[in-house]
Amino acid sequence: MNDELLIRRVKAALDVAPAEPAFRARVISSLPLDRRQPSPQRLAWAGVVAAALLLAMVAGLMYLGSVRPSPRSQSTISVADCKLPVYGQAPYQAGQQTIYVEGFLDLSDGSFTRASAASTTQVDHLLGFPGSGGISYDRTFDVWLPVPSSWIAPDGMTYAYLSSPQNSTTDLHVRDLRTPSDRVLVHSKAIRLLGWVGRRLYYASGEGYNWGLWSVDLSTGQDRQLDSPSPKEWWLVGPDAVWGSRWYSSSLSRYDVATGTITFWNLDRMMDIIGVGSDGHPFVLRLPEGAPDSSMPTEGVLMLMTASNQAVAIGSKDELMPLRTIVIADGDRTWFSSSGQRMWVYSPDTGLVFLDQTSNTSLPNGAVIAGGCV
Amino acid sequence: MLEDDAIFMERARAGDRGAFDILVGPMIEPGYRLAFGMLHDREAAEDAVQEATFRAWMRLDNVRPGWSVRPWFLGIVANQCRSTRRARWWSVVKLADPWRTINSPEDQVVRGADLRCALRRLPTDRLEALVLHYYLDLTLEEAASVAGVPVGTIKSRIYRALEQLRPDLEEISEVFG
Repeated sequence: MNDELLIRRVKAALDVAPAEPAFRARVISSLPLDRRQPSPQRLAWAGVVAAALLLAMVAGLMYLGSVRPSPRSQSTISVADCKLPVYGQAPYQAGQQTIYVEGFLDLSDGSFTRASAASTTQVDHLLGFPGSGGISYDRTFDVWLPVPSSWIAPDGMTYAYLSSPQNSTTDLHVRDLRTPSDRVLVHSKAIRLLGWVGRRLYYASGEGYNWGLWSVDLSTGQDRQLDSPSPKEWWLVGPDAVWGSRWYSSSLSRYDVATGTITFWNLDRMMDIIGVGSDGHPFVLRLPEGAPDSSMPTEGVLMLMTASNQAVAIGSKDELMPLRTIVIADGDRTWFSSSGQRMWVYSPDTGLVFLDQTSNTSLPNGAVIAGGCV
Repeated sequence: MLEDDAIFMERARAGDRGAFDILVGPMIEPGYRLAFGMLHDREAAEDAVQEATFRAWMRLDNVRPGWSVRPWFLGIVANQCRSTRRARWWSVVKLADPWRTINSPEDQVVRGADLRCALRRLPTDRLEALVLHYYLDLTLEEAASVAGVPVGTIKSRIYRALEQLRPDLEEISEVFG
């Protein structure tokens, strides 16, 4: 038999009827809203491992003496009068832009009230620009904005967003909600928008693993380099500092916005910063020994750092994941939101309290927190 | 990576499933065909693609410059299929396998003598090389990228697979003409 005939017959033998038409939509729509959610099969296994690791870690931490044991998560915090802005995903349809549903979760009874159409028009206007990655509620103007809450100015009058007019460059816009008007403050090759301190907007720019830190003044438009590109990344803005780190590092970089100095906050193990509280202290995920691997860590201890080498363990990681966990400072409370409609609130008095919304069917699919209580 | 792809990648990394669908969605059908070619079972193929898509979604942060969606995604599917084949239940043959029914001479031969049984007997790496190159029409370079081996290895696997299949096909030809 010649090769041509052989190959023809092999091809025919391999031929198969196509997948059913809805298969693609089914696969895509089954993906978790939060990319950091582990698969259910792995979760069961990870839970056992995480529990063992947690026990070992707590014992180790107490032995080291550098970390105080966790305050207990007894729920005495009052959230009954809280209507929490949340958004989730509407049922997916192939070929259509992702559609979100916004509204308010009444924590007293778990009911969900959908936001008015008028308040959500800006979401439709800008959703999908690179790096947006979230929707937030601006209580000053009662509007929903297609940006993370840290991109909304503290006074709620202005918010920042990114666009890519020429694909290879990025524009940093600010939009004044009063007029409304839109202007480009920065035009650069690559921008990671971090957030506001007062009327100054902080962003990182760079490529690969080398990122520098800049800030731009809203009033004057003056752009200033604060830290030259180096092998680190800047991640988050708190009320008084910008936080960064290297990937999988045991040290955070803290840029003090008042003094312009960079200091380092260390832990005894690798960590990821996931948020900053209203008091300026960072929440970090302390990774287990042996991390990282090629994917994302699935175990760890959630900690609140109060100084370099000083941290309080406030909970095990479980579903809290680095980067994609939404962390929103709300006065003396800090809200955490992760995939699977899992929400927590932390305060120094109560510790970390789990607000179980996993089976709340009134919420839109995969609902996550979009702002502090209203 | 194309510039448009880079934008969609950025959006997908930010959690936009619509952007991910634009990037990876067109690869789901080829992924399914690859999985079916390697696993010979619809449910197993669908499971493999589902799991591979989930892994791709979770690993967007690991994508490096020079990334190309087709070999990247099909590589994840192929890896999932290898794991499935290693793990399985392999002798189970479902009656409802959705082989395409074509009245071509080739298909009559295949249906008459079940060349697919011969394909199933191939080692995983050889079957994978055949599926990638002859069924998905990937170039040798792309097939090598998906399989994670040098081009020479892919050529060798294809050659050995065809040589292994040749006696079965000649026997079929003798029986059915």
